[in-house]
Amino acid sequence: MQFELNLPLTHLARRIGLDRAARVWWRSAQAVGALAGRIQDLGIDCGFAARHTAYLPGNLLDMEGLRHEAALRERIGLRSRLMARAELRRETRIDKAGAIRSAGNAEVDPVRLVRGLWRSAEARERVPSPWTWWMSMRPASR
Amino acid sequence: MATISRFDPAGHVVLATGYELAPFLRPRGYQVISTWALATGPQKRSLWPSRCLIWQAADPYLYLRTTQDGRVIAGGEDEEFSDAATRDRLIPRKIAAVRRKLARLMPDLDTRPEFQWAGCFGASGSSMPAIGPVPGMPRCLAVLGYGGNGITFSAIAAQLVRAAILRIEDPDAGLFALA
Repeated sequence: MQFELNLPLTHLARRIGLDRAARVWWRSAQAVGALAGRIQDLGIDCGFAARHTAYLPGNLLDMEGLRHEAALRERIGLRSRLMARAELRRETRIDKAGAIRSAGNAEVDPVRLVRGLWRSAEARERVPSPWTWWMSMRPASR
Repeated sequence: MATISRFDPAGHVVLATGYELAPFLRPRGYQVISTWALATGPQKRSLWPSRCLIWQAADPYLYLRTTQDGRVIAGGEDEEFSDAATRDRLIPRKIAAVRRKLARLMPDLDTRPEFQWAGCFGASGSSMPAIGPVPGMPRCLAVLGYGGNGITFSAIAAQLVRAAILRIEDPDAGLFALA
């Protein structure tokens, strides 16, 4: 469960402009926090653990690209910063020049999360129980 | 295929159908992507110290994370979907590729899969989801194109759909609107 999009902020900004790209990334970051809050408020047991992410270099961004990406994310107020080789190795045992470290992400069991949300909605009678739903789907020829 | 025998004409319909879209939805640049993943056996002593989520600035990217019971889930090798049979037939080859990349990154891990699977998702060229009213269809909304980021985008979708149904203005509605 992470706020980072598949397309880097620097790339998305080139596509749709920085104004819009920044809003998409902020909204995504906000959504992770909102969902974490919801899980807590509803008391859903889904293996939730706050985690940061390590975004390694690859064919989209090399280290120079990661540097620009981290700088832009920091500049617009996201919880990302560049980490160098030593810190990356301490955190992950991976030996690469560095990575972008982003806080405010999480690990969940998605099946338990969905089951918990569904059961909560059922309990608040926001959705019919499976039996009620099944009965309502049958032909009206009774 | 279900037939709805009762429909409340004052209500709304929200289409959240995953990667398969209703035929009247034709978003530009929409692609269905196949992806493959594995889960190892529990190995708490071999896991990296921070247990952070790891992925790459790459296309396609490898991602890896740990689970509560000490497994590693790793996946990637994404490619464009052709059909389910082909996707599933590729499981051994794709999982072998994921294992190779995982082993290169993390030589101390036991990469043997206890579970392996394939799946699909819908994606846009911008990696952004499309969320909002369906043009020309009153009280009909759709959410699609979550890409590899389904959990987060579904949370955004829940907020935007709620605002639309309650007729509360959301400043980001235009950003994610269906074309």
